Amino acid sequence: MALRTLNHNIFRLVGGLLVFTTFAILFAVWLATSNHARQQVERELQITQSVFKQVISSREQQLFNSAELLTEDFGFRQAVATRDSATIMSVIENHGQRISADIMALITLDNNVVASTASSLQSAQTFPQQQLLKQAIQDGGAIFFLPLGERLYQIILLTVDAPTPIAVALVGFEIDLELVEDLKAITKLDITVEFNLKDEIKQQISSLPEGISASLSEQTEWDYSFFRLPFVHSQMYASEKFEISELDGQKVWIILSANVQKLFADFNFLQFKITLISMLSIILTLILGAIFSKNLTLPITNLAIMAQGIARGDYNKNIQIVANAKEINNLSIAFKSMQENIVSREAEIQYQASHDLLTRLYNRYEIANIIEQQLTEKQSFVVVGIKINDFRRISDTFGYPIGDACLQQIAKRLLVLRGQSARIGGSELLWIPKSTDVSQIDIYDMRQSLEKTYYFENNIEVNLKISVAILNLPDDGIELDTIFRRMNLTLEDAKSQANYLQIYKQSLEEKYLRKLEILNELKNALNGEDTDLAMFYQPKYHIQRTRVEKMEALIRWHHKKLGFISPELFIPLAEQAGLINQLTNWVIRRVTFDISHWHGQATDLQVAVNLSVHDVVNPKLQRVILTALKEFKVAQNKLAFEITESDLMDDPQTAIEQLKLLRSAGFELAIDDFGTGYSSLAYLKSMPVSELKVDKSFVLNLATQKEDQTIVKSIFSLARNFNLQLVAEGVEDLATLELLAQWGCDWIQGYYISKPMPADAVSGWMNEYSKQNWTKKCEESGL
Amino acid sequence: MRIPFTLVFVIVFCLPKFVNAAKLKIVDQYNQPLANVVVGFTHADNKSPANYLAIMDQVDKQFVPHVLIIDEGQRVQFPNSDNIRHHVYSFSKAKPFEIKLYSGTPSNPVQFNDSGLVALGCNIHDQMIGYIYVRPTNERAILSNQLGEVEIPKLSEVQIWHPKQQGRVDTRQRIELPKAAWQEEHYQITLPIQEVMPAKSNKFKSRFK
Repeated sequence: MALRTLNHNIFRLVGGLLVFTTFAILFAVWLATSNHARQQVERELQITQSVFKQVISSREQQLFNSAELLTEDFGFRQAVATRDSATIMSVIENHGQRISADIMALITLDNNVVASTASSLQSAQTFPQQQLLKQAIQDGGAIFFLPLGERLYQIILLTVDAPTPIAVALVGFEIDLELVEDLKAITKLDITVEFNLKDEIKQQISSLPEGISASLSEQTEWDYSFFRLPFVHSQMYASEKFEISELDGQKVWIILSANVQKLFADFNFLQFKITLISMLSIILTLILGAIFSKNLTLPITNLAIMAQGIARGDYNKNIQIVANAKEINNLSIAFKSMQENIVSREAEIQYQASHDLLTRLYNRYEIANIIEQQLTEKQSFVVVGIKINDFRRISDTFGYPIGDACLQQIAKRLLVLRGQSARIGGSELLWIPKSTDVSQIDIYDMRQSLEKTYYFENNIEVNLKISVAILNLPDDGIELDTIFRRMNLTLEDAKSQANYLQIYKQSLEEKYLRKLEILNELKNALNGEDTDLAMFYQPKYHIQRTRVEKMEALIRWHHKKLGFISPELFIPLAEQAGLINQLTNWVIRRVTFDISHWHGQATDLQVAVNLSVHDVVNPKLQRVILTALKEFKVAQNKLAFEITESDLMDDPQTAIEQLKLLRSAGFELAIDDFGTGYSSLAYLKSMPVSELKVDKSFVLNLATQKEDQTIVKSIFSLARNFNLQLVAEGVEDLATLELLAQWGCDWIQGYYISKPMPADAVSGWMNEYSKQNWTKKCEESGL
Repeated sequence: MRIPFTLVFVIVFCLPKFVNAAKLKIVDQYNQPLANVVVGFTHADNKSPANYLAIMDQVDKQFVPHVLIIDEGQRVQFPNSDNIRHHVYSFSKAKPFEIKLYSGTPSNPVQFNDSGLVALGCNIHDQMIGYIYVRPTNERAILSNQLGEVEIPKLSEVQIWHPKQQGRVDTRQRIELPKAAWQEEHYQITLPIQEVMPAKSNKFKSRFK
């Protein structure tokens, strides 16, 4: 349904109610007036009827009186008493004229007409109304209506007393049009006298035109229909018919007729006036209603326009609505405050959208805009990326609130510096110095400023280091994605620089791309059947038992296109890319497979596989190992595992838990690269390991380096206290071996014994060298 | 002063006793005795008509007596005892006459030569009606007294007339008297009279409904 305007609604309501009310009133008025008119007609007819009767009665009396005077006239009586018909005839004519009688006659007591002035009543006839005559003789008189010929007469019979009745005098007055007109003048209504002759033919004397009076006779009941239009009356007259006389079936009726037309004309005029007034009031009210509703809705319409303006984001329009209603005024005020609130909220949203909520610096999107802006301005400028080193450690150590507070402090210090600054990641910040010419000193000052000790509540002091990456724009990138990628990899590289500073150069990206390629190829290598990856094995020689009993499995990758790829390169990449578990799985299966194919001396070998910390915390690891052993039917004691000390120390608790599970499954465990990972002695105590491998950096130059000797000796004494087997890697000459043997080292691993060899070389090598005494050989060779 | 005298005169001279007479009683339809009934019967005694002057007096706008019986040829004096004038007239066939406005005793008495009923009226006072019955020579006529009684010979028929009798006022009714009638003391005749004497004005019944 289409919505209507409020204006329209109000207008409809008011107009509808008004029209309804008006028509109800009109209807009521119409009914009332029609009814009233009808009643008036009825009443008029009734009154007139009684008036008419009264008039007739008094006329009768009058006629009677004059007739009586006539018959009592002595001369008349004398003349009648002569019984001379000529005399009598003359006297009735004479006396009849005196009272203007239309008929005079004399009738004997025995009903013979003696003389008559009417042709319809001849002398020597008998009088037709014997009964009336008798009555008249007895009562002295009678009066009645009698049609004679085609005329109607009011007849008075009176005895002629001399002094007793000697004859009856008949005096007749015609009911003629003149009389009817007279009666009409008295009653103010049209009168029709109707009578029937003996032959049933009705005769009328009427004040109305003949056609109308004839129709009245047929239709004496007035049709009082309520549902006829007030202005239309087919019937012109309302009539009342009543009988006034009956004589031997000869009846006389009177029809009183009121001219309804005239009566209704008044009412019609009244109705017309009321209708006109109603219509005028409807029109007036509708006009006023329209103005009123317009006035009411105009401010609302204006407000709606304002609201649309606000929706478009036009907040500056001043809301100045002049409303004549309190509610509208309140609405206007509400709109105003809403507009203000929207403005402030949008400002807040805009601020939030462009700022980092924690540090109040710009966020990454905003700084991207700024960079883009500056790029379009064709300026050359410097972008400095800042990353807090080991920020996670700060949060871990002091808690997130301090971490956040730390970031806020850094941001504050950064804001002090001239230029624009933003936070683009967790602990990564970006600074665009104001000056386009940024010197080393500027960077140094910045570093100094940010690396100053931070103080927090509860005497917490935080010292941090930042890595700084510098990009010169637009030379180092013109696209935002490129810029941020290069910023990232430069920062990543800076982290590994001694001064934690790196300026972007092309090679950095190349390195990065190579890493990506390696990673990609590694995926292929792990998934493909024909792999470039291979396991190499380096023997571990037991000094006291003078034989090789163990080997360390080392992964080698000689890629067809990329050439030799160091595990030190691709293993961290695999760890970063989440491929390390897959890689370890491959290694375990591969090693197990190789063991199962060895023969001779090699079948006794125990092979140690290097595990990353990601492997250690992988709960599926043990199942993978056991599945592989089962598949290639290799005994459990043929496998051992090595974990680097630094890996362990990242999350010692979890690592220890997992290692304990491996240990309880019967695998021997060794700590690799010991001496580089700042191991806590407390952890070392609880480590479920049986071997400690001294990092080869201490061993390589052991024979010449006194410091190394000291370190190695202390490690050895430590290990002995924990009852751990000692393994030295990187042994390349006899002198080192002897030193180690002297200090009680258990196992030797290094080029002096053998380089890592491919799997298929292991059996042969073992058959040849497994039982060789390398100390003696040295002696021999020395000899 | 004259009235009592006249009454005595009438009673003495006009009601002679009959030998072998019997009493006739006339009552109306309500069994009330009717006075002033003229009872006439044939009598062949050829008595010469009375030649004395009969009196029809007018007292209190009434004829006194109401009914007077006279012989043919007898003269009647119409004295006026009221202090107002009267205009006595008759249109009756037996004797139409008129004594115009007068008071006291008119100079000439009226002689009634023809027998018959004469209705008397006053042209001034409508309610004044009196009757004179002029009897033929071969007839006796007696007026009933206040008890409605007349004493007559035992006859087989009589003619009776009363001013208020029903039907035509100018005819007498013949009443046959059976022999048995005379067995009793007096024989009773019922003569219906008009209910109300019409007083013309406003008493007629209008035919107008």
